[in-house]
Amino acid sequence: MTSPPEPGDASAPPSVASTSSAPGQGTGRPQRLHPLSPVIDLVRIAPQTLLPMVFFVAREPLVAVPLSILVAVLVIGARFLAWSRFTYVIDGDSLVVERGILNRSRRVVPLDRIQQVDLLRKLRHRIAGLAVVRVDTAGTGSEAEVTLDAVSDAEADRLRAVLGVRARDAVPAWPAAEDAGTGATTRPGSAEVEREVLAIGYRRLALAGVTGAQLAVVFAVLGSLAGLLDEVVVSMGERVVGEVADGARPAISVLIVLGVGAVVVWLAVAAGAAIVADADYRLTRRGDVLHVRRGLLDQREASLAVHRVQVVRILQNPLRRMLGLVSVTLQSAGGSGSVEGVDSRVTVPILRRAEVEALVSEVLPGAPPLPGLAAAPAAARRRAWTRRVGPALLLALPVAVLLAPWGILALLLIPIGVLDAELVYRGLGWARVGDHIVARRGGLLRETNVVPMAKVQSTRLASSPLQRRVGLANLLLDVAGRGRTPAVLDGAADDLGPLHLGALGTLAARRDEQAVRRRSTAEIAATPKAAST
Amino acid sequence: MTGPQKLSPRVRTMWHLSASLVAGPLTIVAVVAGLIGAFEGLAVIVAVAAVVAIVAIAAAILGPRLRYERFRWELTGDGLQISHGVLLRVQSAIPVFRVQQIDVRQGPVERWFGLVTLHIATASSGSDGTLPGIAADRADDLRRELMARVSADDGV
Repeated sequence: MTSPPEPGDASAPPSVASTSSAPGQGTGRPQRLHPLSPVIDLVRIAPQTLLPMVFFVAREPLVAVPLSILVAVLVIGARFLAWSRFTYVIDGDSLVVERGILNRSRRVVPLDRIQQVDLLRKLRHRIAGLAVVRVDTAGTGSEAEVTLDAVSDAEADRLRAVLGVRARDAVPAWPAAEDAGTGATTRPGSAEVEREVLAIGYRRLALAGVTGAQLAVVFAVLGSLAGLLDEVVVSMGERVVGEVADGARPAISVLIVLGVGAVVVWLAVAAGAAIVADADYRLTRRGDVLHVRRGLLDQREASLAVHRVQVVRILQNPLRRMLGLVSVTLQSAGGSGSVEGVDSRVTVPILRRAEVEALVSEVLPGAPPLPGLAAAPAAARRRAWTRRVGPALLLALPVAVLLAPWGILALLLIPIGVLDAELVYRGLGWARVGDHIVARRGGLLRETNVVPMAKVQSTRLASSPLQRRVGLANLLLDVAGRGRTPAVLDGAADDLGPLHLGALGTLAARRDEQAVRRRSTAEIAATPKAAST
Repeated sequence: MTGPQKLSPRVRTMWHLSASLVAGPLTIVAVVAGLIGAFEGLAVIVAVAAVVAIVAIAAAILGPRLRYERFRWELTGDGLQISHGVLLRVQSAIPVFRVQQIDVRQGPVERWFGLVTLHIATASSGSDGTLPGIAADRADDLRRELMARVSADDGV
């Protein structure tokens, strides 16, 4: 908008000359953030600051007015000073950020190390036409590598396109021809077409909210309501004993209506929360870059190159399993967790099981159709039982015997243990298909991981004494990025052993293939319009 | 280098030392408690104290030995393989081109024994690439050899 001259304009389609001159996207002057960015965050703290100030001014105008003006000038001045010393520029193959008033710091982020680019537009940003850009590199830190808070919408889209498309596997000089096309992604008539992979409407988002993790809370609410109802009914019952029984009935039915009403309200809230978080959910793909946009009030966007996807996690709770629904998370190697409390992982909040296949093949190139997983060895079932039913027996039997009348309720633990053990056992399963490993785990919450061997950093084959006795083992597949390590649990050690050792060879082979791919990418790049879709 | 390697035998002594630093005081406490129990005529305390003392001493004597015997590592053309663990046995395989960082660390006790610990890290925080008890004079060669094999591949 009104920011200093944008080097981005140089890479716009009209000026092909500038892009062919250098592989770098832009080598312009360092840019500042949007001039509004120093003050936009003040909106957030305004309510709790202004109100006391108004009171203060009303009571002691002579002191308060100059004092508040002084404070305001100091705060805003300091922020503007910080803003004036914060610059960023895409210099050749790196994003360079310089900042600091007294201690200057200069951070250079090689573009080919960028894992994910996120855009965040809180309501205040949307009103002002701004966006926060967050750049993630591979690493295990909890902070984003670079946060640009905030730039204009147009600049954010330009950065997303430029940084997103450059996030390639160490392609030394990304072809100029493609840069011209993708550098202009925000403009109509760009070379590569944005294709919609997935869109989720309001109805399904509501379904996601209702069937989602919040369900536990609904049950809790139900439970406490039931308890309340029980209490009230009992106390009423006591009171009513000597009275006419008819008197209490309307009251109880009112309570029931209230309880049902509360649940309905709660479900509506859950559905509403899901809609606010993920409204207008769209997953699109342009060339190799996946792009997610979502959110009703606060809008979030994430860009992630397809080959940066490390693991695809497919999650199901019992209710969703009944309805044939799942949620899917794509893990990238970005080490950081969240921006303003929102996880940076790319998540598809709800999906029909039948649609998972298409999504997986979209985000994991070369992924085979998801196979049916063979049942885990019988020893794994015995292990699940001893681990879950055993403790339940140990706990429930003495309690039942010692605390005779009510203690018998403890026996309920046994069927729960049996159910849990059976669920855990049935949740186990794995398969190796081509260069991918599919591993499933979990009892109530079932998690299926699709792991490309090419993304496995190292493998660990672990076995406890009890597992060894029955020929079982766990195979842990270490991948980059945050999240639980994908693992094949309680598989037959004889099957997992070769897989573990083979990992070294397979990965070595993949490395060769990567090199081949890199060379061929350069060749494809030489011929324009060879972009894959 | 040929075949699976053991750690430097000195690490066993070091582990014995550090284990006895825990087991020693524990045994003393157990013996004192046992004597008090014996004077007071509390058989339960005597029994518990005896078990604690025996387990502590056995762990200090056997633990490091078993751990040492179970620890094998091998650097091949494909990568680094480590196999260790007494109860929970872990076999770890790290392809050489996934190696991102090699740290050589040496604590004061290790310095005394002339040993170092090699930490081989990948892009995943889960990777298990810790080699304790490497002779200090070998560590540099080993690190150089590993580095030589690590290609420019960024592993991601």
